[in-house]
Amino acid sequence: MNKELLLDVDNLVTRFYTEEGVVRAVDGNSFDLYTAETVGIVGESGSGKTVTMLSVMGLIENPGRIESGTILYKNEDLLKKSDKEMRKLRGDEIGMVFQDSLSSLNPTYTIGGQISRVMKFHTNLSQKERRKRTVEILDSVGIPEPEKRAKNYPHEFSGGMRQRALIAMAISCNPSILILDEPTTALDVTIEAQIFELVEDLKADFGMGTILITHDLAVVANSCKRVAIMYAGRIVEKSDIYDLYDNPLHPYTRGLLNSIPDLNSEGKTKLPSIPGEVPDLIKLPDGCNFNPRCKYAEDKCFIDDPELEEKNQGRSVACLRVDEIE
Amino acid sequence: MGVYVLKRLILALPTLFIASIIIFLLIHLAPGGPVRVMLGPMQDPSLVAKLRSQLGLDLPLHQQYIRWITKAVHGNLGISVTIQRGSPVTQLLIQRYATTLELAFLSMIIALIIAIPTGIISALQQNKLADHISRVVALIGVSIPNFFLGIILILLIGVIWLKPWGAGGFVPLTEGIGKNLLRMLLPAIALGTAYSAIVMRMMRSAMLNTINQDYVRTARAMGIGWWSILRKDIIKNALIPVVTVIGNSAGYLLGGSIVTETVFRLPGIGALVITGVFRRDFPVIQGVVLSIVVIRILINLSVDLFYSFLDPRIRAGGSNE
Repeated sequence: MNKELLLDVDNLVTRFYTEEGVVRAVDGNSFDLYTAETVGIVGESGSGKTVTMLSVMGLIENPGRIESGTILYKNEDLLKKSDKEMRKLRGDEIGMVFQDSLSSLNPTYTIGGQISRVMKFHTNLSQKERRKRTVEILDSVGIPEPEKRAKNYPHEFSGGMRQRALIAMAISCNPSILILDEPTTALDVTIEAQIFELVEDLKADFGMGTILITHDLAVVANSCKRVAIMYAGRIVEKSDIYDLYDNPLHPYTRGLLNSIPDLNSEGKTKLPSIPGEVPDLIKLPDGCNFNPRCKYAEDKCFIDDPELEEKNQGRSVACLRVDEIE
Repeated sequence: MGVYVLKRLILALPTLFIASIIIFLLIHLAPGGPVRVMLGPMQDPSLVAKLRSQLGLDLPLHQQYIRWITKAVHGNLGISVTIQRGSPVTQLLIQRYATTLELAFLSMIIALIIAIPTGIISALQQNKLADHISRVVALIGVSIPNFFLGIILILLIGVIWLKPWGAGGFVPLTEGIGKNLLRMLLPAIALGTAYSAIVMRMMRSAMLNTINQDYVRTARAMGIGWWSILRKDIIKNALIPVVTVIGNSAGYLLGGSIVTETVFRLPGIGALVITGVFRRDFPVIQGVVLSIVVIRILINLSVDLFYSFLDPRIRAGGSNE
């Protein structure tokens, strides 16, 4: 299959104007997505992953605002589209699956009804055709007895099945892009594997481009080829997943990889963690955002703000000392 | 479903039992027996004693209670002793309830017509002008006692504006719906206002809570139209807590009707119990209060049933798996 550029986000800035101050949730991020690939976006909670995706979806609400940047979807700038055009695009061209499947589904509405409603707004199918298609989709995402299950309410589904139902909803109109926001955080590892298998199949069958948001590098390693690491609203490293594992460049990435337990290690070694916590996005430090927690930080890191710079083929990093540290 | 209703009704029995004891005792603890009122100022002690034994008032309390409750279970609430001497209380209740239920029903309709849309608009326009206005009006609505509002309404609308029709008094439903409604409208507004203010505030806060739910975000992310999100995601889920408030405060409508009926001179259950108290007609008082308890229990049950209709999570008997 030919690789076609689906999404090209350039220099996106999204801020929230709260009473406490300006939250710099997304601070100049760029990334792209091609057909039939999965891009991973990794970061701690509050690093701006979800806000980045909500910006792409046009779902940023007051007091939030997209300040600058471009979001090109198939060469059309989404930021120039009207609310109505964006509504038509959402669910039809770009689907999004959220993390908490129980709270993300309407408790008073049957699963089948909720899926059918998405098609009602994006297709010309009759109610009967939609009902038939709903059962087909539920079947394709691996819900047993789809005909009967379509009549169930969300609380009658297990967590894994709810997540499948959400995916079914998101793909019901064959979108080109599927955004998965921590889709397996609340699930067992076995169910997690099944969900990713499902996403792989969908990718292969429909050439869908997938963006996977997660805080779990292991999840990314299994399903993505390219990955972006986010810290405090910024992408600090972009890389091929193998290169990233082999040779992490940014100190934050190193910290993340080090904090994955190594089963081969001998004896009781203490699992290293990154000291400190994610900074308040209202009061970001001067210089590099990561400097309070970085063991490599020196004077210039507290003054200058590093830009994301390309190191070699497909590899970029935002660190002033990247060439000096080992 | 049937089993659930039956279970709930059986669970209501202890409530009824305790309520009946309290109702029975309260009347007997009150000063001034019915016999004295019945016989007037000229009281012949032998006549008093005769009447007391006739009414069963000379028996020990527990025997009186058993006699009363046994009959009550069979639908016989005794004979009115002062208000309409000799007529069965049950019959009186049925006559009077027609008016009270009509009043309560109309008030509720008026209240909901005002409250639900206002609550929705208020929530959608949060902290804007429409929201501020409806919240202030609701605050006033809750604060005004309904007898005062009733008097104001009679003065303003009844006496000044609608003078030819008059405001007080009552025309039974049998003499024409139009004439009847004309008389019932003002009392219904007076009674419904405070109620609508309570429901409106509840609707507003339930809406605000629902708007921020994840499933609303999901619906938006799926490109669902605004109207569909408002109806099926926001309003439907916001109604669940509101229904509880509507049901719980329906008892307030019965209580409020006592005052309202007095102000507007309506021959309802409220007016009946007031007269009953003044004239020590103990079977009537007992009958009215007991019937209110029963109605209250039935309202609660129907609220729960409606609740399970709105919210599949608490549908009786769990899921159909």
